[in-house]
Amino acid sequence: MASYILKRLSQTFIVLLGISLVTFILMNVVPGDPVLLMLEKRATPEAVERIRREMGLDKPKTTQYLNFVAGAARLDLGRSYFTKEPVMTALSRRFGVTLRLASSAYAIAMVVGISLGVASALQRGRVFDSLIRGGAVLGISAPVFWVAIILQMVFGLRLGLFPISGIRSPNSFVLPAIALGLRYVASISRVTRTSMLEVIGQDYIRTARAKGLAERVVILKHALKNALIPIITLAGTELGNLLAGSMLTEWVFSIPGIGKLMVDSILMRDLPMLQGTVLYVAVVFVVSNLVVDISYAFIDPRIRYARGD
Amino acid sequence: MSGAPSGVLLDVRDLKTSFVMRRGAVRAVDGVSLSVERGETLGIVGESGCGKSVTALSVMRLVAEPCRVEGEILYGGADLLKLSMTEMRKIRGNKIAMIFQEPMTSLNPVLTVGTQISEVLRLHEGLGRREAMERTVGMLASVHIPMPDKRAREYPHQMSGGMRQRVMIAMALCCRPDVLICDEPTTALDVTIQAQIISLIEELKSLTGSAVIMITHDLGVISEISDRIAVMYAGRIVEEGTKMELLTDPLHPYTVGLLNAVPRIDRDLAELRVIPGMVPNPALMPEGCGFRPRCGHADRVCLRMPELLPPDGRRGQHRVRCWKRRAEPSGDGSA
Repeated sequence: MASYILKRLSQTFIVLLGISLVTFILMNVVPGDPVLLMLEKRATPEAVERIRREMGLDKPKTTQYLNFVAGAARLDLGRSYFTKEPVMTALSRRFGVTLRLASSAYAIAMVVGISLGVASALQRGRVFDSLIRGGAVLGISAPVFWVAIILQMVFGLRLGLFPISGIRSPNSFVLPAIALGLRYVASISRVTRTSMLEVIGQDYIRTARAKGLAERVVILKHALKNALIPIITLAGTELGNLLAGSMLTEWVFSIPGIGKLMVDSILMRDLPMLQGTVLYVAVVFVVSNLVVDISYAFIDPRIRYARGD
Repeated sequence: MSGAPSGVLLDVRDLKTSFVMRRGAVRAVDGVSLSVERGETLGIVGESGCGKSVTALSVMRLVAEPCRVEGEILYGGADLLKLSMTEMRKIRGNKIAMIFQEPMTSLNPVLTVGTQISEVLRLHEGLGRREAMERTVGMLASVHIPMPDKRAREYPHQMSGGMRQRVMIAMALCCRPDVLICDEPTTALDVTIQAQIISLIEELKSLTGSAVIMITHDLGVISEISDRIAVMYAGRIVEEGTKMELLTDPLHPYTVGLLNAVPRIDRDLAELRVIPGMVPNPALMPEGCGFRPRCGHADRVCLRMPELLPPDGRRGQHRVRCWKRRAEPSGDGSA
């Protein structure tokens, strides 16, 4: 198991290197000069040239890239062109906010999604099942910004139950977490339903019933644990999506997380900051995939033993 | 817990099981009556699809929904079909246990075999975790699994088919059930393993005094283990008797055909007789005797359903469902 994790980590490193290169190239081919954006229109060519030199933008592109990689290896991603704050500091400060939002949304998605999926499978073909399945299609199709605005209008403005922007109180996270989590509730409930239905038809479920176990034990102990395997695959990739994909939600609810940071730095051509946020997204995806693969092994003994642990 | 003092443990009367389909009900078991006594082994034999597995699942009340099960299943003075699910669960795995055909898929892949066996003991005997695990290891030893304490911590995929079937047997017998139902327990196994499993069931039966219902299509297995044999065809019992009566003096043309279809090492393969035709589809059952379309003796009288009755002028337990009562003992019974 340890050697497996080590192998996966070294692959991770290569993936990150590739991503940093792609980001760097993209940033350099996109039109728009950060120095010109920073300075006012009447700045003298001398001033522009000086700033360019200060920021290292006069050096050849390869040197610029190597400097970036060397810095990143020391966890130094440079400083923001505008606020002069170190990128690493900005990222870690805002990561806390994104993490709170994503984990609340994730908790909602897992608890509600799996419960609805199991209930839907047990009620197969009845009205409840049809309602859940219909709701899931809606939940997957509805754009997150639309859901967010509806939630703001109904629960924020009309009913006045929750704040609609900022992060001043823990309550502020309720609506964003629901908006962000809704589509994952839908997708997880669908996968859970399918997976449960498949497992319930297996011979070992009949064996469990033949033992005299209560239906609750048959479902929760014997069926759900087997049904979890495809659910975890989905849940893992969605953890990545949640941590990296809360841009729209953060934007609509004015939450100062990494998603909003990314959008801001795109608009302002803040290259070091943007590179930092893209790298963050990459790390999140790679790590969440790794976590998924390792958690398989905990749930399914066949994988655990196949890897020779 | 046993019912009548006469020793009859389980008495199934006029069992009818139908699957409710969109186009109406399809009857898989049609009026089966059978009983087993303490320590007795009843063999149920028949082709695939004749309703023998559904009979067993009906007794356990494990037939997949939507279904309808009618008749009476008397056990311990109660009709199992009238019990609540809670009461039925106290009997399943405890008083009446079942072993299934597919050892490869009948165990839960994500739980250790020890957990799966001790779960039964904790449920029915209220044992604590440690106590149940100790008993489990003992059970694994009694089904001749080497290093039982190590094996108890393993998962099903680490075991062979024969080993898994031993685990299933240990699981079924750990509460010393009154009745053990074995649904084709050896079909999926190698011949040498089959013999081991059969003798293991015999051995444990003599220890626990359980009654055994052995369901199989394999006449070899049946003749080895059974005291009495019931032959099923198209959802009904067509012939029933002691092992001696049935194997030495088969009466129903179907039983005769089955016996002729067993390959024997002392006979030329050319002599092997197959029964022509197929088991009828339960949705398109022929009128009268179910075997009529495949029977060489059928005539107009067979258009009515015969009763399961003792054959003319005979004593003993022999019963047969055939108007002809007695077919030619060997001859062209299956022509």
